[in-house]
Amino acid sequence: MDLLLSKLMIFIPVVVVVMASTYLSFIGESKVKLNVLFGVSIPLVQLKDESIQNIIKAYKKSLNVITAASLFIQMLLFILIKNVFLMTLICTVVVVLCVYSMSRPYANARKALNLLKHEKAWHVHIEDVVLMDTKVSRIKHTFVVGPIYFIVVILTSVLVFLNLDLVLGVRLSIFMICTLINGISMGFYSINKKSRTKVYSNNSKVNLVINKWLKESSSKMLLLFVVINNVFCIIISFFWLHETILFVVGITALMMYLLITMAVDRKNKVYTSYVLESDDQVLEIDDDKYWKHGTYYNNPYDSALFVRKRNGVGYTINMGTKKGKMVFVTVCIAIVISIALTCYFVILSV
Amino acid sequence: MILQINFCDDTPIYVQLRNQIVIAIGNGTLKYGERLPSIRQIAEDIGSNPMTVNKAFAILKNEGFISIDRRHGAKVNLNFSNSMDFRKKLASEMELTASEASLRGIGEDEFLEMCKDIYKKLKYSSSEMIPSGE
Repeated sequence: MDLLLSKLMIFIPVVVVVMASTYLSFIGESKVKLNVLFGVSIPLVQLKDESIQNIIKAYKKSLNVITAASLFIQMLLFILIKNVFLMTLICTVVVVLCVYSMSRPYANARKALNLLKHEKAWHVHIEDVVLMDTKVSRIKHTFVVGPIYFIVVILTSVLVFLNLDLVLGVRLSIFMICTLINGISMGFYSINKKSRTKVYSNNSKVNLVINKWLKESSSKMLLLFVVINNVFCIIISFFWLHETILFVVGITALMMYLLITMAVDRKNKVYTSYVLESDDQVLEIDDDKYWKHGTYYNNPYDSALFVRKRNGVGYTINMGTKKGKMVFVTVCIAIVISIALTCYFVILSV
Repeated sequence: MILQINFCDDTPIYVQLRNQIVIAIGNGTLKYGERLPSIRQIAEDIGSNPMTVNKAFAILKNEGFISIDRRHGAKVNLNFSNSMDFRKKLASEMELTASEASLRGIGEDEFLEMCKDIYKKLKYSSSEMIPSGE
């Protein structure tokens, strides 16, 4: 019973965080980002249209109902199932299903808005063009925090060797994993530094301010990830033999990454909207045809490898480029290998 | 300046680049002495081959709209020639434009008015130009 209680104490917050972040992410979709609503480009002058407001209302209502129902089902499962393994398995499946159900109102709203756009022949001015602000692009590499901060933080990862009670092989493994994650963060830092700047307005000052903010915040977030990664790896090296502590540390690290990403993304969106509200030269761009189902980006004319997602948090891969396809295949292979290895170790431990 | 490159357009990319830079210099968006991004940077950002951008820059340099420094890259230049060759080229292009306008029912007055409106938007008038060699 104690084991069940302790697992519940960990599992319930995880479920709550996942559900809350999914809900917040989807409810944020009812707000207009630039001239995009539910992944559909709409002329800014038409956004006050009554039909659009009705779609937004219906979306919010169905999302609230589905979220409440999902939470109720999960709480019921926590009460009814007593077996820890069974509860973990069923709850994981249910969480995935709930997240999927919560995505349905978005898909329906997008479909309805697309139909409305075609019915009313709302056309956005700029299509099929690649935009570049020469003034911003020329100095884009200066927007990010310097690599020296990363190097200093990464060097602290050698502290995992301090716990002399631990076998050298284990310490080396922790160090290698820590270095791998730091390396991935550095890779993203490099991509962020080189990535092309986005054009929001005909006013170069606006483009400069927003791009600087976005690049700087992304690089600071990556630096924070490296710090968190190193801190948790050092903690793991000291509490290697305490299974519960390791579990808590692992879950906490994942939650922190998720929450930081969401917080940064939200702040970026708020700041971008704030700057664009005061500008009267905002560019309305229509690249709907390059967004398959509003989620997958496939634009062969866009050289960017990663682009900001239209819905949800973070970035997505541009599948229209060779590099994008390569990254996608690599990620798929990595996921398949990690699932296979996890299954292998679970079976081995049983 | 905001470059707008249309990859679906029939106009070659280097011509689009050249034309947009000339217009930006004309209407004052790009100022005299202002630096342009490097060839590689433009090519990366618009997703084209560096040779394409190089071709546009070479044309702009030959026409005197930009000067290229090995250390500082490309800069906007206004020290271009107002030669007879250019006048001939302009006359030939104007002939085509005027013919098209006439065939599409645009009268002489309206055409000249349009030309005046376009000229008013330009920051640099002919008197501000610095003829080469002076």
